[in-house]
Amino acid sequence: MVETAKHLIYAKDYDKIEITHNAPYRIHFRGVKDKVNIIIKEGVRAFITERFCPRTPNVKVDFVLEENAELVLSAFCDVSSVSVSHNIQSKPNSNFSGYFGFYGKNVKDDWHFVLTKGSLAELNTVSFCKGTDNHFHNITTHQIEGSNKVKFNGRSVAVMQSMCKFVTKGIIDKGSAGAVCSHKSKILTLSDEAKAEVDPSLLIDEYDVQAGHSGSVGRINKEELFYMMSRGLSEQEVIKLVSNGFLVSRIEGFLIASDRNRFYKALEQQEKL
Amino acid sequence: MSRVIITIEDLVVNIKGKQILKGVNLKMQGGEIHAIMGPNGNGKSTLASVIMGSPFFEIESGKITFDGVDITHKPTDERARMGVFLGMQYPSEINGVTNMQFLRSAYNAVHSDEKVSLSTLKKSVMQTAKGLKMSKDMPNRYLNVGFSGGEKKRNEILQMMMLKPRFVMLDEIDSGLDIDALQTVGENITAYSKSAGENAAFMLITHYQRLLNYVKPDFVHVLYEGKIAKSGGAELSLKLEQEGYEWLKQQSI
Repeated sequence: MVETAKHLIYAKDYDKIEITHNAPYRIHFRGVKDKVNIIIKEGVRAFITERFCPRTPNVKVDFVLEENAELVLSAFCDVSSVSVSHNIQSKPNSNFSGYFGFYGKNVKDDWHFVLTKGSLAELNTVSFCKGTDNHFHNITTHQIEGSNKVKFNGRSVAVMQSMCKFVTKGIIDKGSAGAVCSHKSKILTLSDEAKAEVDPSLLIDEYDVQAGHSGSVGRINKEELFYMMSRGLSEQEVIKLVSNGFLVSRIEGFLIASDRNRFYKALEQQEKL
Repeated sequence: MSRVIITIEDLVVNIKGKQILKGVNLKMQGGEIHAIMGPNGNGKSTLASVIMGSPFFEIESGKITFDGVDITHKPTDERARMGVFLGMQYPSEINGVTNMQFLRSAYNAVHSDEKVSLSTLKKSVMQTAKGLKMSKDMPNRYLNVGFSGGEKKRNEILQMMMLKPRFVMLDEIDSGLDIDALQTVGENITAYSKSAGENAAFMLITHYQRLLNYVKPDFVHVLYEGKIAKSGGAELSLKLEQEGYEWLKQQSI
């Protein structure tokens, strides 16, 4: 787990960044330039945290993970009206882990993965949609060759009149025998007005693969509600505990400490669900 | 003379149009332990759930009075804050909410007039958990998630002991417990009952005599076909253990 970022990079200063040393980095998107190309060189292990700024509402990051490279990417984005797009090109035997939290108003979150032989990619996202927020998560994984593995876990809580949507698409090309693909999206809705949608799809052109997708949208389980209320908690208190827990169980252990605390703080301040 | 803790009068309860309880009458005084026994599917768990205010059942008629207050239509959380507690047969698993977080929230809700610091509460929880032979990591684990059957039941007893309710219902608290765990749980229930004295009454729902070896009931009732078909002293549970319910069914016919 990365606790501090030793290398601070302002994306506006670069078109292309090459990471050549095992180290933690923090990338700030705070200028007019919103597109950057980052290459993790062969065999390098990098930890990158991203920081977003309201002045840069459209962020596009292209990552290339060279052979045997490893990238742990983490961010908590509480910027409103932001569009974040990540393209991850994974060369053979590379390893990607991404952990993202979203709390802002109106978020468009795009991920596109291309995986080759022996590469691994795991992405976890959590988001909290409140008021009239609109969160749209679009995840595409494209396994183009050899045995590789991709896993996506998305969780969101939608309250008040907010809207949350997950669109996940898994593509497995011919020649990807042994590939594993798992996409899971869960949305917890806490009001009658909150809207949630999950649209998963898989396009598989190979026989020897393991692929699965699941999507669930629902309210708090009534048995859980009864159980917790039977210990004296009001319905509102239960909703707050359960919805925070729904996200916290995913946040813990992956966001870096400072981002994790910012997310906790945001959730704690969320008084009116 | 002990005061009446709970009174159930002519309670008729339905679920999805099917009548489960068909006129239950029961009165429990402070310091008393009542065991509710009976064949499966005759309304034991329903009775406990309805007293706790479960939204899954519909009360057709009857009245539940706790401490002289009619709680028949009060919400579950209000009943709990008044001092009603149900140790559930299948406690829910809540991901992302730690045991300690839950206990703290519940304690603050039930004992809103008390100001207990987190460290004092944690110390008390750890001490109680130790008495229940629970693992040290219990406060930081998510509520009932990954708990064995026995751990869940101990956790229910832990919650009971922390919240200090005045009317305790334990629904098949002995299921899923091995012999040693049963003894531990039984001894802790007895200890709490003794410390509460006449301020609390207990309703134990069980199928077996084994729990009642550790927690001696003052009264045993058999719930059969939605009614209390037979009441007696501790000897009744011994008779049921030996002879089953067939004789009772014959009597009912």
